[in-house]
Amino acid sequence: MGHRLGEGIVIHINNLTKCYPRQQVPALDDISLHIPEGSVFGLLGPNGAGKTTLISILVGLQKKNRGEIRFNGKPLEQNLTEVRAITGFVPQDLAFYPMLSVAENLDFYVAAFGVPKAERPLRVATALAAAKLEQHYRKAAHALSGGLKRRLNLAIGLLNNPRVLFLDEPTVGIDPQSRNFILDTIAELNHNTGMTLIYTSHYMEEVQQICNHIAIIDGGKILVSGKLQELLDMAERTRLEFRLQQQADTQVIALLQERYQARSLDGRLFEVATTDIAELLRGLPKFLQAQGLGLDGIRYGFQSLEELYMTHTMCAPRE
Amino acid sequence: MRLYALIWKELLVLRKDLHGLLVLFIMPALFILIMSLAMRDSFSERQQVEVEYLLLDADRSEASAELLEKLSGIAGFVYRPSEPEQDIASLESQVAADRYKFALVIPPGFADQLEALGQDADEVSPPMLELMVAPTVTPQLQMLFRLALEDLIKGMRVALLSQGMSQPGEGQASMPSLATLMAGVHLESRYVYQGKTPEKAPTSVQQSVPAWLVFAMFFVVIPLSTAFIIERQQGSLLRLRIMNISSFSLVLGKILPYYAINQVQMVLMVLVGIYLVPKFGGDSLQLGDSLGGLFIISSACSLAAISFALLITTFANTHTQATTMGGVSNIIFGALGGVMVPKFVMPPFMREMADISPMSWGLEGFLDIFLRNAAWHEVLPEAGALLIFAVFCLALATVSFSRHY
Repeated sequence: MGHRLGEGIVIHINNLTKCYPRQQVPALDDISLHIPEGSVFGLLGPNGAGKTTLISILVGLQKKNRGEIRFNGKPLEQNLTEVRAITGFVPQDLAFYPMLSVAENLDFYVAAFGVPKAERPLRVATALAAAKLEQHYRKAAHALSGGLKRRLNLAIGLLNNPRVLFLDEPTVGIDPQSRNFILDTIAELNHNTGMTLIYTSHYMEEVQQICNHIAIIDGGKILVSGKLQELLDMAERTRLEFRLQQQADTQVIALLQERYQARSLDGRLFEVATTDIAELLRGLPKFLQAQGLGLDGIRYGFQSLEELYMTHTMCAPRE
Repeated sequence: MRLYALIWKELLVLRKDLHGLLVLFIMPALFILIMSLAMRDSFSERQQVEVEYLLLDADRSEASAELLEKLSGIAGFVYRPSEPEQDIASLESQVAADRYKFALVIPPGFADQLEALGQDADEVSPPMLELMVAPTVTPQLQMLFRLALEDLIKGMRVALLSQGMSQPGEGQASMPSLATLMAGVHLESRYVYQGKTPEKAPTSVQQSVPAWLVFAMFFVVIPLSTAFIIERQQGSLLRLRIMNISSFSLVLGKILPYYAINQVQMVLMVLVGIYLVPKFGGDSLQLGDSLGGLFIISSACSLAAISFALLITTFANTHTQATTMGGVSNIIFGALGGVMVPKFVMPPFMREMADISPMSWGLEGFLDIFLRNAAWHEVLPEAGALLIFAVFCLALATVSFSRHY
C-alpha cells in the first residue's frame, strides 16, 4: 500500500492468522490490512466472516496465532496497556448498567478508565455533549429509549478521550432519526478531533455515508480493501448494463454472447463484464446498429456499496 | 394441533435445559436422600440416635456397678467408660470441645446416698450424680437425658425399699414417705466451656443465630451471580477488560463489597439476637469472649461463600442457572452441614458426611465463639478449612473464567 510503519498508519496488520481450537477453517486467514490515521474505516462482512475476531484481537481480547499487528509502529502485544489507553470500544451490546442512571454509569466508567478525579467532570461533560445526553443525565439507563441507550453506549466509549474508536454495529435496532444522529456524531468526532474510527456494520448505506476507507472480509480473508471511492470507481469499470429499444431475437442474443460475453437478462436487458469499458462503448453501438437495433440506455458501474459487497461475498446467506 | 405443537415445543425446550432438568429431578432426589438419611433415626421407632457420653465411676461400688448396667439400657444414649486415670478436668475438656455431648460422674459416696432412703435429698448435700453438658446440647436433649437418669435412680431406690420391706422388723422406722422417694434426684448439671464460663447458660438463640447466619452468608450467590452474569451478557465485563482493568481487580471488585455485605449480615443477625429476640420473650444472645475469633470465622466464612458464588457464576450461562445452582447447592450444604438438622441426630455416617459441607465448618466456628466460649486461636482449624475451600473455588473459577471469556 506504500505506507511505512509509523507514517500515517495508525494500525498495521500483516499476515494475521487466527485459528480456534477444533475449527478446521481459520477464523482469520493470513490477512493484511492498513488502517490510516484519522480515517473512518468500515469493516464489512457477513455473519461469521471474522469481523468480531479481528476487532477482538485488535483490542487485545484474543491472541493471534501468527502475524503482526502494530499500533503507531509498535507491536500490539508488547504495548497492550498503552494501546488500550488510547483506544475506545463501543460494543454492539448495550454495555452499561441498566439499573444505574446515566450519570452513575458515566461516573463509574470514567473512574474505571483511571481518569484523574479532577478531570472526570470535564470528560463526562464532553461525552454527554457529544452524545447529546445532557437532558437525560439523571434518568435511569433502563428507562431510556433505544436510541438514547445507543448514545449512552457511545458516550461511555468516549470517556477516555480515545485516538482510535472501535464501533461494533452501533446503530443496531434503532429508528432512522437516532441512527442519523449517531452517524452525524461519528462524522463530527472524526472531523473535529481527527479520531480514527473503525466501524463494523451491516448497513451498507451507513458505511457509504460515513466511511472513507473500507475492507470487505469473508471467510477469514480480506476480499477487498482501500479508499471507498477508489473501490467504487474500480467497480464502475468492470460492469455494464444496456437496454435495447426492442426485443432481440435468438440469433442476436447468441451473437452478443459470442462477441461481447453479454448475458441476456430478459431479451432486452443485457449485462456485460469487461475490463475495457471504452473499447466496449466504441464497438457495441455500431454492432447493434448493424443488427437493426437501437440502444434505449446504458448503465455502468456499481450504484451502491451494497452491490460491491454482494458481488464480493457471493450474495449467499451465511451460517 | 396447535396445542400439540406448543406442548411439544415446551418439552423440546425443557429437554435442552440441562440445569432446569437438574433442578426438577436431581435436586429433589438429592434433598430427599439427604434429609431422609439425616432425619432417619429421629423418626425411627428403633430410636437409633446415639448420643455418646463419657462416664466416670468414682464410687466403684455395687450400687454404681448396677447403675452402669442400667445406664446401658437408656435408648439413644451410649456411654464410653473413661479411663481410670482420667480426671474431671480431662472429661471437661473433651465435652467442652464437643467430642462428647455429656460426661456423667458418679461421685464417691453414691452408694451411701442411695441407701440413705430416709433422708430428703436437698441441694446442700453432695449431688448423687454430676453431669457435664456440652454447650451445643439443646435444652430438650439435656432434659431428656436428665429425666432418664432420674428415673433410673428412683427405680433403684424403689428396689432398695422393696428389699427393706421384705426383711421383717427392719426398716419400718426409717420408711421414707412416697414424696421423698419420688422427689427429684439431686443431679448437678453444668455446661462446660473451652474458655471461661459465661454468665448465662446457652440458649436456643445461641444455637440458631450461627446456623442461619452461615446459611445467609452463603446466599450471596444470588445477588453476586445475577449482577455478574448481567455484566457478562450485556458486554460491560468485556468493556471493563478492554479498559486495562486486570482480572485481579475485577475479582477483588466483587469480593470486597460482598465481604462487607456479609459482615453487615453478621452484625445485623447478632443485633437481632441481642435486642429483637428478647423483645418477643426470647433469650438474649451472648457474644462470647472472643470478638477476634468472631471476626476470623466470619471473614473466613464470607470468603468461602463469595468464592463459591464466583465459581457457580463462571460455570453458569444465565443468571437463572446460577441462582438455581447456587440456591440448590446452598440448601444441600445446609442440610448436610447441620444448619437444618442438628448433626447429633444424624446417623454416624451422615455426621461424617456433614464434614464435607463448608457450612458445617462455618457453623462449628461460630458455635465455638457463641456457645463454647472459645478463644480466637481455637477457631483457626475451621477458618483454615474455609480459606482452603475459598482458594480452591477461586482457582477453579479463575480457570473457568479465563477459558470462557
